[in-house]
Amino acid sequence: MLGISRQTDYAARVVLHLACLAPGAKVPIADIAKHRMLPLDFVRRIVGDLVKAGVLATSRGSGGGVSLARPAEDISLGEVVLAMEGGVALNHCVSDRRVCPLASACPVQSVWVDATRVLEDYLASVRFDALAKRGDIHQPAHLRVQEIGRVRGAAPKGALA
Amino acid sequence: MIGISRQSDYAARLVLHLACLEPGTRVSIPEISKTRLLPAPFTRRIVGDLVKAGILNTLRGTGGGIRLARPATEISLLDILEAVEGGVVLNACLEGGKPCVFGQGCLVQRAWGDATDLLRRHLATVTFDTLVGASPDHQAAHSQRAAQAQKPVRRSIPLS
Repeated sequence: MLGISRQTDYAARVVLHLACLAPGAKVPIADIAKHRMLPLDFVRRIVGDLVKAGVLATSRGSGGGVSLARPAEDISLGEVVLAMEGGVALNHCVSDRRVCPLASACPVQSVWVDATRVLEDYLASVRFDALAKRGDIHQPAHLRVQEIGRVRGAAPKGALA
Repeated sequence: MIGISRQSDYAARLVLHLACLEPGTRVSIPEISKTRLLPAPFTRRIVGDLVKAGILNTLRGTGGGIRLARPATEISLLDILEAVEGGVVLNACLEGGKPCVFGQGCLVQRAWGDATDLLRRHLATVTFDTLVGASPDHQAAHSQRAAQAQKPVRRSIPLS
């Protein structure tokens, strides 16, 4: 199957969770795991990858936690895919033409390049502020399923309030 | 990396090879492997998948071989990926069998769904007749390469 890994699926949900909170909100990793029903160890690893990619920021100590490193409107789904998957390259000859000696004359190679761009452009256009704005259906669904945990640092907005 | 498997890469090349020939031409699997520089056992498995999907058909015996089961105008790159990858669905939550409990309300699911539709639509527009049209330089490059591959290679270390 051509698709994203489970890590990327979870990473998008982690970023969405933070984007649904008030700007600057910091939450413990355990809260995200609980709200979004994700395995804690897995979330820890994903947060590490997203911090390294500059999507999230962490602070230690009391009042610490995970937050978005930038405003949600500056974070795209494409960045999350880049952080978790290393990017989109529909075929290996897209990222490195040297893998095939005939790539320059190959009509299929240029099609993989075009399709890769179509997908990349779309993913870059999906911003987390837009996803979070539509959270009015989604957030109550999460809350119904899982009891609310602690949210530190800032008052949550929307359905989490 | 979001990408296709090596099988799909090879499958596309194999179908392109057949699409470049006169309609209805049958060729043997070893011949395709040689011209397209694909490993023969791998090619055999891929042919099996493509036959099952109704993209190729095979005929045994003398004069037998494989050919396109329908005109190249009716075979798209999406058809190949569906046959070999088992589908183009960006996230597992979009598959019928195991829906997420949040299903319809999930905002990211919608984005994965839109991305999947976009990619599928794009791949469906790429049919093999178009690829053949873009192929003359490519065919020449392959023939040249295959001819080179046939020349005996002098080895410095004798094979035991």
